[in-house]
Amino acid sequence: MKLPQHSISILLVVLLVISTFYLHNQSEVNHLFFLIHYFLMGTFIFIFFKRKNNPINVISSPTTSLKATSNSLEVLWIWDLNQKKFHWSKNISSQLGYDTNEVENELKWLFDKIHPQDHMRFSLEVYHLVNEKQKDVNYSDIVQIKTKQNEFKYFQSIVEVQENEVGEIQLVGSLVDVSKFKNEEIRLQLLESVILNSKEAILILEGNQEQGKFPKVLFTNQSFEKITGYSEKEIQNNGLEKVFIEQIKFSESYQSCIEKLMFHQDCIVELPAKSKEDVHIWLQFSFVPIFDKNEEITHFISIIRDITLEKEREVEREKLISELQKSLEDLKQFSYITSHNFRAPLSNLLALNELIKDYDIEDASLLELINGYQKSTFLLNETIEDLIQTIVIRDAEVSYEWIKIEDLVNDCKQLLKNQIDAQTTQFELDLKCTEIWFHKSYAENIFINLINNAIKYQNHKQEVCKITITSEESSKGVLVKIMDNGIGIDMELNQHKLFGLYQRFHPNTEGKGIGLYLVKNQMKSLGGEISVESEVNQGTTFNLNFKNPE
Amino acid sequence: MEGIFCIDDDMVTLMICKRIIEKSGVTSTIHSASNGLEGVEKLEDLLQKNHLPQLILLDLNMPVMNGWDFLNTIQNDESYQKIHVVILSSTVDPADFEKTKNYAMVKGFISKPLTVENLLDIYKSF
Repeated sequence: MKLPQHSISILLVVLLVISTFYLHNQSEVNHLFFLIHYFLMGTFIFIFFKRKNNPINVISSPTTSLKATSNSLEVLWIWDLNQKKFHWSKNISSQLGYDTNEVENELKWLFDKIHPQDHMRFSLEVYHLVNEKQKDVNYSDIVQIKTKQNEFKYFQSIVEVQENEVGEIQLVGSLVDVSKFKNEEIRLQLLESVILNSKEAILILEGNQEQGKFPKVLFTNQSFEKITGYSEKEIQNNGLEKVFIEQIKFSESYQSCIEKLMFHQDCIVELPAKSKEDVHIWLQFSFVPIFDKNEEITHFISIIRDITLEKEREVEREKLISELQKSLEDLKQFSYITSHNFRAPLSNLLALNELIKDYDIEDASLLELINGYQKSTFLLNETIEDLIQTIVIRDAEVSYEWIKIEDLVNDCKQLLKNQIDAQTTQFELDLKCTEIWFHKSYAENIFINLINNAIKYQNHKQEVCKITITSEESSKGVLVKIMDNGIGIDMELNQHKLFGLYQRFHPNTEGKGIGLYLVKNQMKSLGGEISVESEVNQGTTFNLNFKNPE
Repeated sequence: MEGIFCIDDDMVTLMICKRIIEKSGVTSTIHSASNGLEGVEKLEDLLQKNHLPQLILLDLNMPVMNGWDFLNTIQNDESYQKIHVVILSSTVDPADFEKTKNYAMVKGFISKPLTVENLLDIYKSF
């Protein structure tokens, strides 16, 4: 039978008291009693110190020990295996949020608070300790425990089997909140995983460098080796220069990057390089200097991207653009040559028409033929001239100037003098703004087209063909209105095709439907706007909004 | 200096020019050449005979020697400095219009066809 340790101590104290009392009352010294007395005293002292030094006996009384730790950061718990009771240090409330009276008297209560990730491992280890009851064996681990606030915190947990002062086996545990360190560790692990797993190569380089060289490489991630073929050690020994082709080392961008790093500046550069297998690649380097609190440089971080594919695409794109430009230029030249070749014989036909007019032709049927030939030549010439205008809009380099609106109208009158009947055509000008900022030949063409339309589509039921031209300031610049009292346009039918190519709205009049198309293109190409308001038999208003210079 | 020298590879154009000049009455002396090289040779000939024209009506697109090369050949020759050159062309290429600015001899640009009015305007500007 095993006596509890505290019973032995009590027995020893009683025996020591009796022997002391006996020795005190004896007149003669009995050596045997002396020996017994000192043996008892020595045994007591031995047991006393043994208890002091034995960790099991730290918790002589669970309640006393737990009270002692109430202000500590270390939460202590004892699971009384005999009584199936939990004892927790008071600081459980400050560390985990639970009051001691909230703790259920079951080990399961603790297990339920363990994070699912750690639950199985923790419970297995603790049950193992309970079953083995092996003293002085502990299980140490970091586990996540759910606080009363329903959040998990990391705790350093130590669980061990101890024997109390009466020789009973207890499970004793301690918990220390290590969330701060653990979270920092997780953050560092995440950062490390970014560096290690990044598809971009990441380098850490020294803060100082030799003249004309890149700083020494301290670290490379795996991607660097994947991209360049060089291992960390190879690049540490040979320097970053190893990845570049020799010729590029004399280039301005290469030298300028090294110089920027010398002055501890950021640097982004795209350079041709070669891999260890001698494959030509394009790399984009981004260097960032890192400074300490005293603004002293500590190192550089460099991110390297393999941009070979992008560069190849860029070269292809540039090649394509240059081919397209050449095709466009060829097309332009083709259109000039074609236009010239059309115009040359046509101009002869026009000249011959004029010369024929000097002759009196008496034969009526010959005259009819010649008239037909002249009319067709005139129409062909108009068509060709209009088409040439569309080419010129696309190709011409335009220049802006201030143009007087009144001059434009007068020029139009002069050019259209054959079409304008002085008796029945009336011009009215109300110009609050006198000038527009535009390309002169475009402006002339726009005014000629619109005024010519006003004359061509005049309403013969009206006594006069009235053309009113007004101008005023607008939010963008100058708004010019060209109004007539002509036959108008059915806007419901024609609104959407009004400015289209080869659109005609009045079958009984001459026209090829190219004029308004040209007007709109010329306005739009210089940032202007054009709109139209019209009513059948009432007239038409063209609103021209010319931009002012920026 | 008298007369007009027409240089054009198109015979119809030359014929029309001749008729228009006659009709305008500005001169009765008309020379012609069918390309730039022939133009240079005839001009040298006219120089020797002391019959240099007052005006050259010059086409640009011609075989053998085009209008630009004709101008390049004669422009630095002191003997021809008093001749007025007017381009008579059907070109629509903006570059051609710009290029004329490089030649001091070129006094004008007429888009074909030549008309009596054009010709009279040119003579008025002399």
